[in-house]
Amino acid sequence: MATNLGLTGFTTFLERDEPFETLENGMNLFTRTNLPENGLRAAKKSVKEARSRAAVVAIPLRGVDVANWAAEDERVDLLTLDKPNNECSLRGSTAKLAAVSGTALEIPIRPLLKSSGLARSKVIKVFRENVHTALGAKMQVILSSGSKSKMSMRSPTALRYVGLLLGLDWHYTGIAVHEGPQGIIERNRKRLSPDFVAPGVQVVKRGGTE
Amino acid sequence: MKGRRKRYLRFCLHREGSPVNDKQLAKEIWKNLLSLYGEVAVADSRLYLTEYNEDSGIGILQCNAAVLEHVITSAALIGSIGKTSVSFEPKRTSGTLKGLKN
Repeated sequence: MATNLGLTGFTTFLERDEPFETLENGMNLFTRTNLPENGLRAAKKSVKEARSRAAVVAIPLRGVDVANWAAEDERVDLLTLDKPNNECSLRGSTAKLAAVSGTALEIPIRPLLKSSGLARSKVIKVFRENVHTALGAKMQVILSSGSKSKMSMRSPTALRYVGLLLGLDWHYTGIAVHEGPQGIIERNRKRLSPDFVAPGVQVVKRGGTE
Repeated sequence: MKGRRKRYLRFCLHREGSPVNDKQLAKEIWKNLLSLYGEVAVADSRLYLTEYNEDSGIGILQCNAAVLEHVITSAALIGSIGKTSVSFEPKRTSGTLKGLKN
């Protein structure tokens, strides 16, 4: 299905041996972990292990404490709006912290497919408000299918049009669907490489025993 | 009166389940367009399915150029038609039918 839709890769919650994998048909598969949403302590405890084995680390946008910590922590890639309701509100100050550390706001469009009428308008309201806050603070916005079944996957072009509905311009929808996710994957590929020491520091050549 | 500009869209309707016919698809796009953008958008849309193959899901629709974005967004947000789960994939847009087929 992903190949038919023109995707070149996607993330999965399934346990895999490698965080970055290329399948026989050329499709790239990346592991993803969502940190526990039940408090700051649990999230902090699990982030180190998650970072060492997952290509993408995300945390649902719920409480202010967890959101502020995740926005500031460079190990967390995404603040995700998986269950949009009135409690999911990104603060401007949180978005500014996220913009500095490179944490992006993920908008999974699945809730839009699963709702209609007034319920969908409420979802759109939450998405649009959070996108507006993120863009105002220069925080990266990422669009994803957030799908749990193959038929709720959408092609990159379809996602770009949904981005227009959420208040993004056409140029930015390209960044939110293509360059943004690609940038996160490339950054984490470097981070998980054995040559990585710290941000900006990496082993370029290993010396011999002589 | 100057004619309204048309746009043609080639698309593919991926599905899981029984085939969806052209009337069902057009009705669902209209329904979503009405829900998302309102009656004026539907009135201005001049939306028709020009070609559609039920089996492959590949088709061409035409609509008013001014509401093309809205039509595609509405179609992309269709999750199911009847009991069939679907995923609408916009392929290419053009101002002429000939341009789309090239």
